[in-house]
Amino acid sequence: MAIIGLFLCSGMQSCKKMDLDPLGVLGEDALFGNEAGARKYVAGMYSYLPIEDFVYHPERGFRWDNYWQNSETLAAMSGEMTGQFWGVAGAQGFGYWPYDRIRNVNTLIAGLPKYKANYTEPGYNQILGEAYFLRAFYYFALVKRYGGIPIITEVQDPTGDKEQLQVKRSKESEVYRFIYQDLQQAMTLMAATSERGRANKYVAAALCSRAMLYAGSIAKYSGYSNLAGDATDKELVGIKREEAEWFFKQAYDAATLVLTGPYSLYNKNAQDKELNYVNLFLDLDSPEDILIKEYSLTAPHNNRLKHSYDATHLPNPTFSSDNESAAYPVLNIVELFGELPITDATGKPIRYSDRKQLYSELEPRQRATFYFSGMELREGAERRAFDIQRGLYKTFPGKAADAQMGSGTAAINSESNRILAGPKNSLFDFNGTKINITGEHGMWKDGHANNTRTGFYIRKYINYKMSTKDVKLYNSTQPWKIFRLAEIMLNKAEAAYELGLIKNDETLKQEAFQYIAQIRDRAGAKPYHYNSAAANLSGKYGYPLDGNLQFIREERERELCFENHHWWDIRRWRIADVELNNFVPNSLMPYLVLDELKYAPNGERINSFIFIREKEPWNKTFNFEKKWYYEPIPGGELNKNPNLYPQNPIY
Amino acid sequence: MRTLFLYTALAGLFFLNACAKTDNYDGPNASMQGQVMDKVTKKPLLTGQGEFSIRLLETSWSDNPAPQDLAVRQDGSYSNSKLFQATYTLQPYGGPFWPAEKIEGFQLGASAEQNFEVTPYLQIKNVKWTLKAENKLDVSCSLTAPVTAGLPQVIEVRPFLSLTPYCGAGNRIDAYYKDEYRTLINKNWSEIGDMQTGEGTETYTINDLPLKSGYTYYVRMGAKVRDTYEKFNYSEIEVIKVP
Repeated sequence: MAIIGLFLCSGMQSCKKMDLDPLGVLGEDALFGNEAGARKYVAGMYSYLPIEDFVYHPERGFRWDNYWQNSETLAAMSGEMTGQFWGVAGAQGFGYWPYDRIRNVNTLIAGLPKYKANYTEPGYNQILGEAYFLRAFYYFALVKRYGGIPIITEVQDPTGDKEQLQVKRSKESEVYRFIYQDLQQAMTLMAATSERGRANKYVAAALCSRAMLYAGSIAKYSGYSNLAGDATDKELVGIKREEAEWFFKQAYDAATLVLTGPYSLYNKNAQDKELNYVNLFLDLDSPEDILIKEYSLTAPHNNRLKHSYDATHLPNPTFSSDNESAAYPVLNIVELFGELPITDATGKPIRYSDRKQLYSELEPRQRATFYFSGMELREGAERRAFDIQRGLYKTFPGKAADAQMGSGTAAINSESNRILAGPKNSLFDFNGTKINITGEHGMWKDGHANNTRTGFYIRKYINYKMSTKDVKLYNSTQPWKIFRLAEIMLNKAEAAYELGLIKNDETLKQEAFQYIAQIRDRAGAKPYHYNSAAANLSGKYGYPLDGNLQFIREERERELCFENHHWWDIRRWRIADVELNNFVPNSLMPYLVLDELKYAPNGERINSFIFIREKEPWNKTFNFEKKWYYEPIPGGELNKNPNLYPQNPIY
Repeated sequence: MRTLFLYTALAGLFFLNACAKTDNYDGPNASMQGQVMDKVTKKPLLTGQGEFSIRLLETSWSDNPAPQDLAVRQDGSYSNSKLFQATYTLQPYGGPFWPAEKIEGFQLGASAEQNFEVTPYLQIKNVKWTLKAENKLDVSCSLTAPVTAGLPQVIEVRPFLSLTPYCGAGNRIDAYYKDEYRTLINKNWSEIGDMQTGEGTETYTINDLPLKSGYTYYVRMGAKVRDTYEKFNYSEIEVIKVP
């Protein structure tokens, strides 16, 4: 025993000096003591910035690794697209709670002043301003999900007093005002330019205009949604209506600052507005970009710096050599750009010998946002057309309405007259001629993965310059637009109009349409003029709304669709529970009418296509539960900190 | 060495000893039941199966109790026999009625019966239906608001059809839960009814619901207002036998 005792005692002696700096770990002085170190520290925070980009999954989180799920987006939740297995499922989020990242920012803000002497004045200000910008970015990602949350600005001591560690939630309004202050600091400190992908003064202003616009509309409209509960009574969710003016004013001012910056709407191919709009999302050197996130195939995998946007939105094998298309734009949003020439004055379907004729006269932006049946993709030997056809009608003498939205019980859709088919390339024997029943890319009888169920594929952001053999999972690198000028113009238009309504100021209301005009001009859309006697649309959502404001909102949807804006927009306008109330999207289905087929003298077939508006064949229904105007405070956090109670309404 | 073995064995015994404290709290052996009544008609509240609940907060245990919800049946009754004997706050919660008063400090013993009275937002009256040729059903109704001041906007009126006596938002034939079979209102009560008497001025008609021959349908009309929970107030159930 004595020997063992001695042996143990000898063990206790070994580490005399324990207070050594660990090797291989960068300490505060290495990171904050010089610009290169600070740059590295900031880069780490950018990497985890809550950017809702290609690899964001609403129910799984940021930087989500299952890249084959890149089609499960906010756009497929908001009713802009309809997916396969994915609907409004992600509305309650994934319990985002990035106080560890916020702590990193707070550490920088607290630690940097010690080393001020090591920096140039602009270098120091840039890093500090960036820290304020990053903190605001994190808090904005929190407040738009949960409403009021704890505001923590210092580096908490984990061994400190429990009461001080368990910080209470602030009011939703206070969080937005805190974001405003941080961004004001950031704007004052940062320079006007920065390297691509990093913040500068105008980037901070862009975030400010978005955040303040959100707050303004929540202030104006939250009262109408009647979201009662303890959290509402304490103003943890919802903002008082009288604060709307202040927030809209800040949104307006911040957008004004961005517009004085070095940005302009992308117009490099002004003579071809369709191509111009397509390139806007692919050109790395665009004067419209305020902040983008870039990707790289050579980056280490755990940085999640590549995505699968092309492979998850294009049909395999024609345009993708891996995975398949799994979400499709719905007709409702295609028609938001303008009516499609489907029927004539008497209500009969217009006949087309070529499906391309349908879209030839449409708005260039509309053509650049969606792939219509007949559009072509890829170059050289890979170049193919989107071939979308639902089936055949033996005869279609009547009006489009006779098809009753594609209902199987309509007389004209009897199985003897409307021929649908299962596997693709099934042939129908029509008087001895074999005719394809369905298109190669949709749709089969009951819909099928990889085939469109709406009659459209998405075109925005699709990299047409890729070769089909390269379109694979983890193989796309087109950058994500975090802020682009068009959004800021739309922010300013909406803020100006809302301010005009509150202050009863015609000049402000008219000013809004200056920006709408610029955006519509670039898009190749018909001009819209301010209507001083705008229609009263208050029956639509049960709150005051006029035709001009509705147009501004719709223009925002047209310009920013599929860019993960609309979900947050229908939440802050408090219209999601009305828009997505038992909502079944519409599809547009091309059919060939057999008894109208003709043959040219050289034997070539002259087709007769019609387009029928139908209910989406899977009958996928979107319902927005009212509690989803806010996500629930994560249960694990409530257990750790009871001061986070009360929970958000209806949870 | 032997002593060392002895010590090791003794140390082992300490580990075996560790969990001596047993859970001697009572199990959930209390039961509770009751009925939710319509304050105006003094009859059971017209609702669907499981559409709202009695919310229990066990205040004797923690300051932030997790709510327990006891689902309310279609006949307005509720019961649960696996509750803890404790002090609760009770409230009918999440239903189509004006916020109900909380019962605080409710001492639940071995068993208890507790009824509640609530004021529905809307009452659906004058339900009339006709079965036309080709088994097409027309159904109409009107609304009454027991309390008009501060009533949230009325959103919509729509029929619910079921093939069982359970009929409501949770027990419905989905094919009839479509936009073409509803009347969208989105109006304040002052536009569609009398603010003094609470009588609605309009009749809402849903036409041409296609029914199938040989079936018995259970049909009721529902209407909802834009409150927090947006649940339906219902009419009585009509039984329609299609020949």
